[in-house]
Amino acid sequence: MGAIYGVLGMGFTIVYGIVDLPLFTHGVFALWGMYLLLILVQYSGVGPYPGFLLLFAVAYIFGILLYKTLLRYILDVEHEMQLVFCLGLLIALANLALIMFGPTSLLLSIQWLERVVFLGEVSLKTAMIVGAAVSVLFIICMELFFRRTETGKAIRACADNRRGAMIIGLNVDRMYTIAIGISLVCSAVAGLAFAPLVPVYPDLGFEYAVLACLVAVLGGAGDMKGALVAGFIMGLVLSVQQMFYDLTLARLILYAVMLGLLMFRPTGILGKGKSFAK
Amino acid sequence: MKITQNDALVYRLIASGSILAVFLIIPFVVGNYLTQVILFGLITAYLCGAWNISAGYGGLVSFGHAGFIGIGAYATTIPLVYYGLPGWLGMLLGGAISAVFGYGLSWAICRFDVKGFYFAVSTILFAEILMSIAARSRYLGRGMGVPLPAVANAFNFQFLGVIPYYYMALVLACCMILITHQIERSRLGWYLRATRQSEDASSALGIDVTMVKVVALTLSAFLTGVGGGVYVLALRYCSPYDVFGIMFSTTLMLGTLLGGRGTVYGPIIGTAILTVVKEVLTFTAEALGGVSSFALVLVGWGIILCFVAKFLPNGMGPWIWNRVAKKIAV
Repeated sequence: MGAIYGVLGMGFTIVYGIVDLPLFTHGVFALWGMYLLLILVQYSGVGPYPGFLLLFAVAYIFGILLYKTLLRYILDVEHEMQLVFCLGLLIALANLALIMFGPTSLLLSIQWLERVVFLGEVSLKTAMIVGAAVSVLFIICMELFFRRTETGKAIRACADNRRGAMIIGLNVDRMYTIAIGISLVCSAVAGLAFAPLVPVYPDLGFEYAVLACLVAVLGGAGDMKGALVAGFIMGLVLSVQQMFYDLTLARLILYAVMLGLLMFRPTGILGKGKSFAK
Repeated sequence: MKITQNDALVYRLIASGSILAVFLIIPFVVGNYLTQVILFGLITAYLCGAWNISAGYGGLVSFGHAGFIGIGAYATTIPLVYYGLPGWLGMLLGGAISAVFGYGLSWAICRFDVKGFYFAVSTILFAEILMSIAARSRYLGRGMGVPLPAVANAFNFQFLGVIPYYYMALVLACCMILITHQIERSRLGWYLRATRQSEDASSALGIDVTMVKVVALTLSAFLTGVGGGVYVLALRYCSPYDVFGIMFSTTLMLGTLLGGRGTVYGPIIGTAILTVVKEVLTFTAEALGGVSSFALVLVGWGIILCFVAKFLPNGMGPWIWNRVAKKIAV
């Protein structure tokens, strides 16, 4: 589970770190990813594997469209207003899902993912292993993309110094487009990995949005490695707690700890994140 | 004819007097349903006003004022239902407890210098934590919430009809206008606006920024807590997901921002527009059939929030005012 939280938080972290926009709506994007997957796999007969690929493509294109039509225009408004904008987007998208898919929870069932595997004394659903594997694989790919490829380096340059990147002739606008597209794919991966594990219902969007923020805060906003580590810690804490308490209490404790952490260590566990922006 | 300051005051008194008169006779003219709609509109306007003090003037854009509403609501409900304490005492108690929480929160955010995105996240967490506590505690009615008994007892602030609550909300809304007006002209108001525009410059000028923030948030929390008490008395039902929900925080934010943050009449104008939009969308949803009206309203609000954030960061009030002023000048 930890790896999946990590991916979810990474989506947020990429946007916050690179584009400098607190786009905390990734939970809802993941939710829409889940619904899209349900439609593709369960109801339209596309089949799981082409469905996955199609989902990534749709997420990337949606990210580009989102940037070109909306996000680009709120880069220059006040920080508070950016937050307000993102809240509006979150609410609109979450409730659009409620209108379109109804309040009942749906479950994605793919036969071979339901099987239970025993590792020594621990029993695991195949879906969990596959989800974690996909997430880790995706994170490694992202790391390679940002470290090794020309585009990845260019994007990091934009994050470091926007004006400098412009001066050396980088197309900052295009880099931002790509970054947001990628962060949307992150949400899609998280949605994909979560879909076989939990029942899908519209309120999940807000829950995941808060979780993604927490992962980002714990990891240090803008710090990708931190997000991954934070995701693992969150997953661990939540699953260990769930053995002892029920979910609401687990969440309560998590929130309380996070509130304290946010105050005392704003740069995240690795200490590399941006501290308070602006 | 030149309009002197004295004339302007007279005009304003006439205008506000006539608006007040209209509001006073509304419940006897329109039906029960509309009265109820306006009643909750007034409470929302009052709460928006409270949010406006800390966020509009002080720039502390809180995403978790629902936490204070919830505290006020529970502090009114629990003593009333369990121990028979009068509702007005509960309201004040709720306000006091909210103020304590507001003080704590503002102290923490000043002490650790929490701003922007982090401030938003901490306020959301604040409301969510309180919601989880209320939804778990058996004493507080768990997730089901606590219904208030439907009895008429004027001393307890409990009535059967809508009209008494309507006047209660009207008084609150008027009080909020007066309070905001006073703050705007007072030293605190100037401090708040200065702090919003630049914290560094304000503290360089000798303003105690921490004190200003703490006072603003504590005052705002107190007023919000009282409003939560009235809300729950009028609704006669106290549910954790309602009073602590993010939707309530959003409503306050939207009402204020739409009308104009940092203005006296902004929250009123904003809430009026919101209430109309809400009713129209609710009717649309019913006409469409099969669509959740709640969800449709929220989609509309989300879109309005996005729109306001980009195009109307100062709200409708100043926008209209500028148009009118231009016309007069021409």
